[in-house]
Amino acid sequence: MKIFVDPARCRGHARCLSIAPEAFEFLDLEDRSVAVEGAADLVGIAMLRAAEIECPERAITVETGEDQT
Amino acid sequence: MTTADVEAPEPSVGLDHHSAHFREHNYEIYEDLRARCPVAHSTAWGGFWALLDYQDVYDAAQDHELFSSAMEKGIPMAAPDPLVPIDTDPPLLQQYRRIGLPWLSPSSAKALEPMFRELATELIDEFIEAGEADLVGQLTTPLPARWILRMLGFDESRWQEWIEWIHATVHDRSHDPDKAMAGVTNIYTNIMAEMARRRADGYGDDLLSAIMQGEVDGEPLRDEQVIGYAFLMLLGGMDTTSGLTGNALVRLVEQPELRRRLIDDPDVLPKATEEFLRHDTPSQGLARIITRDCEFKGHQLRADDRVLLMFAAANRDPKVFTDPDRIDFDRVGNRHLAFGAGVHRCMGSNHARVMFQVMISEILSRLPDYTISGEIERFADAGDVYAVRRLPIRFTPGARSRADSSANSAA
Repeated sequence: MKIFVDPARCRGHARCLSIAPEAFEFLDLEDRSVAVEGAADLVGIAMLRAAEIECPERAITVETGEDQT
Repeated sequence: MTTADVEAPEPSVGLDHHSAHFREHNYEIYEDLRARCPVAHSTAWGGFWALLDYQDVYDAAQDHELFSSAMEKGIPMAAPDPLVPIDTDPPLLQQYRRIGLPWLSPSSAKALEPMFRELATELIDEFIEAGEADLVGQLTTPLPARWILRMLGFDESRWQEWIEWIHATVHDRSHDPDKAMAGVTNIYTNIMAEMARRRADGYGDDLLSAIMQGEVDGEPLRDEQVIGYAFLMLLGGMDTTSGLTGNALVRLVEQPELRRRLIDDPDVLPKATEEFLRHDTPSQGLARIITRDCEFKGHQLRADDRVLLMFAAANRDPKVFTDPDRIDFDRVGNRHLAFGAGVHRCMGSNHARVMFQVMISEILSRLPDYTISGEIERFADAGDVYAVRRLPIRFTPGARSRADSSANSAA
């Protein structure tokens, strides 16, 4: 499973940090989130999907590598 | 759509977002306009466009080259100099934002939560024994105001004066420009005094010092830019968070099941926060100015046309939000635009959320049975910030939390 935060779209709303704080890190000076390496497996697909669907900038994509939707 | 349609003169919809009618009927007006012309043109205030639909507002917010944030966008203009960074465009915008970002990051908001709670406890202590209060005047206004003054390194005991000036600037500028200008003058004078103090005594660990030492393109900010930056921090800090909280506190009385849910299930508060931001958006809209003649969603826009991005209307767009007028804490896919979108996303959003959550949870734990005991007074002009000015409440009196404040009042 892979999470990707598009740096060109993320505007630092930080909704993902509130939904899945273990899976995302915030770069203060760049005003954007990044996915934590390997954290996808700790957090679980439901939380990641929630972060994806609540992101106002549609910056987050979650790829499961198999059809889990 | 044919060229002839595009070139046809736009009929005015008579929208005046600063009017009393708008304040009382804003959401009805949005729905009426959405049905008739989601890209609406009004002749009020020298003429402007208003975008109502979510996708239109979102697209305009993303296209910062066409939809500029230069200060001439104001309907009407607010301050004599640009507010920084909200009245700037990329690429300078990001450099200006970078000066304030470390102070406004998610982690700095989280680190301040105990301080917000202490402040809330202290403020509630002042009225908890009385069984009645003006919840907006005594809690939701002073808490964010004192925080932003403290962060700027200003004397927070003077919060009432600052609030008066800021409220005049925001809420009186359309119907009493002299009063608004007097507020602006006081704000300028006092920020300049704080700048002089730092130049004489040295910089401190405060946001104004950081702004004064900040650089853009290798140059320090000019004095009017420093003032514009501090001014914006005061505007954002003092008005909108109180607006959100006051609006939500009214809903919790109108819809007791929402209050019950928050008391029984405090973990829903983060989702409830997003839903109140969507449903009861304080910053109804922000303006942009068009940089070149163009066609937008079938309408001919001209260079220097002003456009209002109606975030509050976008947040009730039924094409995006199912049953948009209903407050649903379990809503999925709540991509509301209460903090805007694109490069100008509200810099104070992290702190706004934490302050809102602290105030709501402290109210629900210490005065869970509050009821509204008089007339809800709203700011006359809701065009910029839709907010409660005075919220008289009654509740079962409780005990103070802090022994020291009891001791002070007994002395």
